[in-house]
Amino acid sequence: MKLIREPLFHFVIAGALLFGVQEWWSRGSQNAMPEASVRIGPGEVRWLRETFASQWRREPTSSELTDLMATLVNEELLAREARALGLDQNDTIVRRRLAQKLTFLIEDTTSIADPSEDELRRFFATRAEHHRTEAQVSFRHIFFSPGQRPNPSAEAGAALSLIAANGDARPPEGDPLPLEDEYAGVDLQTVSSLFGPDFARTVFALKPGSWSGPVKSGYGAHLVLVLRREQGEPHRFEDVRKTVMDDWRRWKANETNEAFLANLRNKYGVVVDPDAKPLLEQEPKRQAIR
Amino acid sequence: MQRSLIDSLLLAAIASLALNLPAIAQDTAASDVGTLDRAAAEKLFRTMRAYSPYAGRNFPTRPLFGDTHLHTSFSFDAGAFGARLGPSDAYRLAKGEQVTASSGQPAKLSRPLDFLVVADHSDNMGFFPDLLAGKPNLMADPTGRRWHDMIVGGKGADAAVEIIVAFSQGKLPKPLVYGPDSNAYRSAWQETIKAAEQANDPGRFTAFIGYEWTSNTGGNNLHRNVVFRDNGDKASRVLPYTVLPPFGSDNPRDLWKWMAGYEDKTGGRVLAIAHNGNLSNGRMFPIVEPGTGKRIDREYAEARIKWERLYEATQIKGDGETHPYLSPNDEFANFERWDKGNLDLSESKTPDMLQYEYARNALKLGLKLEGEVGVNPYKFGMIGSTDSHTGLAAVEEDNYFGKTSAMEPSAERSSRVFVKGEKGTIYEWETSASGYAAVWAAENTREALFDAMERRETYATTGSRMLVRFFGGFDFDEADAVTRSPAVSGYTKGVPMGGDLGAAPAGKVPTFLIAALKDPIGANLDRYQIVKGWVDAKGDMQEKVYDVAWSGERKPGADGKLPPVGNSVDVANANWTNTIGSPELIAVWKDPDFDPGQRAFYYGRVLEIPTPRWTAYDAKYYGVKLAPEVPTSIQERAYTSPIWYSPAN
Repeated sequence: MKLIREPLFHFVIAGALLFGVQEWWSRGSQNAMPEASVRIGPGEVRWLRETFASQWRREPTSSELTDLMATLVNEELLAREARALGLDQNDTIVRRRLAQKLTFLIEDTTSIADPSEDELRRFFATRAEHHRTEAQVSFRHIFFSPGQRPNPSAEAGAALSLIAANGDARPPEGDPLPLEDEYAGVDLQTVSSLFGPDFARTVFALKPGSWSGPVKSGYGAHLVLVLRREQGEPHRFEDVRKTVMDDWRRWKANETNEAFLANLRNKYGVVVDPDAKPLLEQEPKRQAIR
Repeated sequence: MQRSLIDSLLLAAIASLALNLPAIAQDTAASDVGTLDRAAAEKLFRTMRAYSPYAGRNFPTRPLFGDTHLHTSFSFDAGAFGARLGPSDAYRLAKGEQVTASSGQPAKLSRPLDFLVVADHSDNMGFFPDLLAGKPNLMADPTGRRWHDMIVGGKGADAAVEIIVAFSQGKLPKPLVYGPDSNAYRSAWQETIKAAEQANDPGRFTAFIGYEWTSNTGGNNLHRNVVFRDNGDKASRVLPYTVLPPFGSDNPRDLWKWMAGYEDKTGGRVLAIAHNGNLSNGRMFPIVEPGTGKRIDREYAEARIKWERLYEATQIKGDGETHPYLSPNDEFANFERWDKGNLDLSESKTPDMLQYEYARNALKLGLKLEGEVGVNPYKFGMIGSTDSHTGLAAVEEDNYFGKTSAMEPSAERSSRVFVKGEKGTIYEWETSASGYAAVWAAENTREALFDAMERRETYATTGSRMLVRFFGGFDFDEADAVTRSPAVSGYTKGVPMGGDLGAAPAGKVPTFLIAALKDPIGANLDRYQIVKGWVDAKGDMQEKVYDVAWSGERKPGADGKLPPVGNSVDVANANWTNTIGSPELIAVWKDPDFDPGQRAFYYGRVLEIPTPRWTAYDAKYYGVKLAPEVPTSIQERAYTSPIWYSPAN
């Protein structure tokens, strides 16, 4: 009898037994008692004591403890009766609180489980484009100010032709600008924060080795000489492990949340009445407010 | 032998140049490798910069922009106003990522910030997330339960007002006080540290660890933000200092003691930045210490200037540079003003309070006190920050996410009441979309930024990212304003913003090299002014604003005032054009009224041309009509840290 030695077989039998016992047990207990009575155990007393102590920085006296106990018991009794009368139905606060509790639960459980090394490496591989060193550029520039010249772009253009004719041994001085005239190894974000995003994009697209322009910034016109451009390189997994882990956690939390909600949508189903649809698409009237 | 001969000749040449002693100096020195003449030796050994202008250059080449004062849902009042974003979300937005704001709208900055301090209130830190979650210790208190029910039932804003009033009036029920000894408080602080550690990315983005100490007795704002230079290993060895007894105190002297205690215990470094003197009702920059009735003494002055090197001079709750009552001759003094009362409007403002509330006058009081006690307690630099309670450091005029989450963009916010106190009302339109801190640090790290803050090499902006240089020295001349890199002249011949001129050499007058460059995606500049404050021979405090550089061909009128730059704002379309103003301003200025015997300070103020105020962007987007008293344009500005002059002895 090979089957008897098969672990899966053991598992199935054990599972069926457990399930049966559970069914029998819960049915039995339900029949015997519709709801357990309000029970005060050592745990409840300890909890009341600790809560009190943490607020008042001392232990409660026995009469205080009795009062706390009475409040707790009354609260529990009232809550049960309210539930029995269906007062928890259609109550915004109760609904929100329940939804919130479950949300916290989901968040808590997903934050506990870290991925295996393999899983994390696979995640890293699928998002390699997010984990590159920044491309960098080194460049020189000459500024032509609209404050100093009527047509800075045209004058920059003329200066460029002159450089082309004479070589760039002595490029023109240009106008003063409270920035550096040469930057070494700066990334797109830095160039963008100094000269604006359009200038930055243009400079990163220029061919290194010769003066070009005019390139416009928010300040005026520039001639630009790109000395060197380095493409970003993929990070080694080991160097960015921490960042990848953070990304994974955020991704996982989203993923789990979405999956959980999708599951619930399947489980319960969501139906929008045809009559409700036009109401949903209605734009609010804009009112003038004083 | 030959080598040592050449060596000694070179040494002689160096010595002669260095000591400049003509008796020893020889114009030429022959050796068997050629003739080393003086000119050649100078070329070799002059202290001038190397041929490569970048070799050995270690001064900061670009300002780093950030916010030192941002609240998240961890602050009890922010949470009550609906903030759901925690510190991690705050750092993500600052790094340029898109996040979903508490109101459900997508939010993103026009470009990333370089650094951020999440500074949640130390009192009751972590209280709000617990209140929202209905933790049993809070639900056991009737007030706690009522607030919880209000918030969960959609009355969060009302609950928030009640919570803030109860806190500022010291009427928070005891069981609701989250003391630093509670577990909830500890875990909130650890969460705060963890978020900063995760977001910190040295070289690209700095996430500082910090908190706000919220001394607010009687509703009078004496708040300070505490910023750590250190990483979590040191910061997690302490708990933030609070205000409520028995663990805390509302007296700044006790905060300074706590700071000293932290440094002693951990070997770390912290600094504190005060803000909103305008809501302190005469208590932010006292000459008589509140509570004691005694005049500021040397001990107070020394401690204050040791721990408080910067002041937050502009933010959402009003601008704090100066006030028209204090600076009647300054036509730009009436700017984003909040002067109705204290923080909760439980006490009205009276004019005699103003002199102890605003940065410019405080700098003057500092000079005066220095004369009395020997130390200047108010020798601070300037920064701006948001004080936003949304987790979003978003204060661009066209991208303003408000003071609280209840004030995130909506059609109603330009007409709603923000604070209603016994003594007045403040409307949401009165909140100012301001400001940022600009720091001249050579690298983007906690250490470099902190050290730059300590040396006050900073300036405040009202939300724009203009670049501002301000150097003082005795030897700047016109030529320095036309060099390719003003910063090289600035650092070699003078001191940057936040520095000291020291005593004047005989016959010399302070000169300043100033430069400003517009925000690369923003508006042109109107003018660069220098504000001078001094104490005259009679001991009276004086101030004067000088126009130093401006756009176009404008000429000062008979009254000495430069005509306004004009206004290109199209309010209906919330638009403007850079047809007026100038992208850059550079000049050298010499103090025309210098008296070497009188203490003085100088700081720069740069004005942009007028642009639409956030209210105009709101009106356009939501198609609402603004009340006539609501301003629709604004001149964004920057304030540099001062440079101080002190006479010899």
